[in-house]
Amino acid sequence: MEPITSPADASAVMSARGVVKRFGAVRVLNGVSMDVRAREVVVVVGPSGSGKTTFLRCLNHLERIDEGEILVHGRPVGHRPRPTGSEPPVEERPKVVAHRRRNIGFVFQRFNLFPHLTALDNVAVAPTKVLGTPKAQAREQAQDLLARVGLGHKASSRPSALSGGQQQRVAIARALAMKPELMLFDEPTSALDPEMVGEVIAVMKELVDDGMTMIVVTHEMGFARSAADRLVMFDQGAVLEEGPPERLMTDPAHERTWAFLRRINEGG
Amino acid sequence: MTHATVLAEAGQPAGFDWPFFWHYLFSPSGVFLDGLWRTVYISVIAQLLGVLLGFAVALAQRSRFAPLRWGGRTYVWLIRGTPLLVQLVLVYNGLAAAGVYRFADLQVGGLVFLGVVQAAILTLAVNEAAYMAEIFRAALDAIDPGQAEAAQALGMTPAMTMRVVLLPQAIRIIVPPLGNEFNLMMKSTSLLSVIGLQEMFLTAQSINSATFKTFEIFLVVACYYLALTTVWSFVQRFIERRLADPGQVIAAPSLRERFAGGGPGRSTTGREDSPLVGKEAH
Repeated sequence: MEPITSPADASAVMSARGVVKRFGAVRVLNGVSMDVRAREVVVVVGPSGSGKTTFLRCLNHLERIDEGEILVHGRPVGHRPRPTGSEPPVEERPKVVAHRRRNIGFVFQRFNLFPHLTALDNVAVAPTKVLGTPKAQAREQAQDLLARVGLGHKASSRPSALSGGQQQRVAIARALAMKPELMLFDEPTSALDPEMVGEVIAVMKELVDDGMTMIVVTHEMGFARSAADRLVMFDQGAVLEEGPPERLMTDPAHERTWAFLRRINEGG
Repeated sequence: MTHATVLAEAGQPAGFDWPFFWHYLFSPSGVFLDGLWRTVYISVIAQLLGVLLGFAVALAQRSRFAPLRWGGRTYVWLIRGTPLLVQLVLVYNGLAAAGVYRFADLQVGGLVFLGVVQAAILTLAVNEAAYMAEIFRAALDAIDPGQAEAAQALGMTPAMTMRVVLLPQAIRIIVPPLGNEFNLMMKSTSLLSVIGLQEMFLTAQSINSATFKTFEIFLVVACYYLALTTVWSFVQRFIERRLADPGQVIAAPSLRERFAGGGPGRSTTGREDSPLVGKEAH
């Protein structure tokens, strides 16, 4: 059987081909294909329920895909390599998946900091346990990372003592501690009070300036306009259209893109 | 002759024998203290083993392998569905009667480990594990799924996620019901009397059959159980305080505050100034 789509691009940092994800009878992702090159910043937008968050979660195998292929650095994250690319995905062993997730950073909408650890330990724990970095060295790196997100003075605070914006900045530092080559952001500012959005966006922009490869699901069109190389519009579990942010915002090819972008601009 | 004098002449006590009661309460015999000691160490060992085995059963129930999940659920169903008393008799007397296994005394170094104590600890631990498994399951389920996801996204294996992220948070949830379980465990050891283990209850029974001071001696026993559970409740509270999130800790109320009902948040003076009181009233 011939693969319907062209094979995934092994030279891209992330390459997805014909990704299908079902929750029961509902097809949440309906054949999504996307390539992200090194140092590229891609912002994904779309109405709620369009599958953008599910797609992001599939990229580091927090969700299993039912069909298609996702390669990160030329390798599947949660599945055995498939010679033809058309047979159904076979789940890898959890240890292998864990190993392959190491260089993919993920930032959650609700931060998901570890409440029993201080900010410093939240950042230092994964390098210590996963990479085997000596504790003193990991803590030193963690202190530097906290300083980088402007929270050097909060190292000994528990997450419960931090504001939402501060928690999300710690969460970004925690992901960076694993020295990822790809950062995934799942609506990083939607759980924040409006006055805290700016501090998180500022940290993300610094990452962009440092040349980080990023895929960001967000409704922050200001960030998309100033920082994104590409804007991708999701609709009904598929990519409706994509292109430079300025073009999509001013001259979209689809009526639905135009209507959606106008709606979130009015809201924001 | 009146009824009362008959009783008195037959050596029956008239009323409550206070001297006997105080004597056994404050200077119990060596035999009684041995029984008390057995009650304590059997409870502690059985509870510790029960916690470990219970955690293993809870892990089996969460396994990605269906037979393990099925085995874990069956274990809990069987053990929780039958009385501890029946389990004790089955394990100690039943197995021996059927010729399957007889618990023999073990000698380790200079210590003799009685067969009946082995059977008691094993049965209590296996029984406890079923309840602890449910407590672990509930605690692990209570943790936000985002915690495990965050750990996974950082490249942690499932075992590492459990050890580094889930278990430390689960323990905080587990301590109050665990305290409950240990309280029950200490009292359940009185059932060991049916398999002839000389713990506190059986010791009291033999004192009773020698003295006929039934009310007095079992009141002493009740006082000792109460003392054990009271000491434990203080230990439990201490552990809870140690595990609490330092950011959310409420200072321990002083003795005076406990008895007088004063203290922060409950003070009757300055009620109007406290911003908390107004919120609580709504």
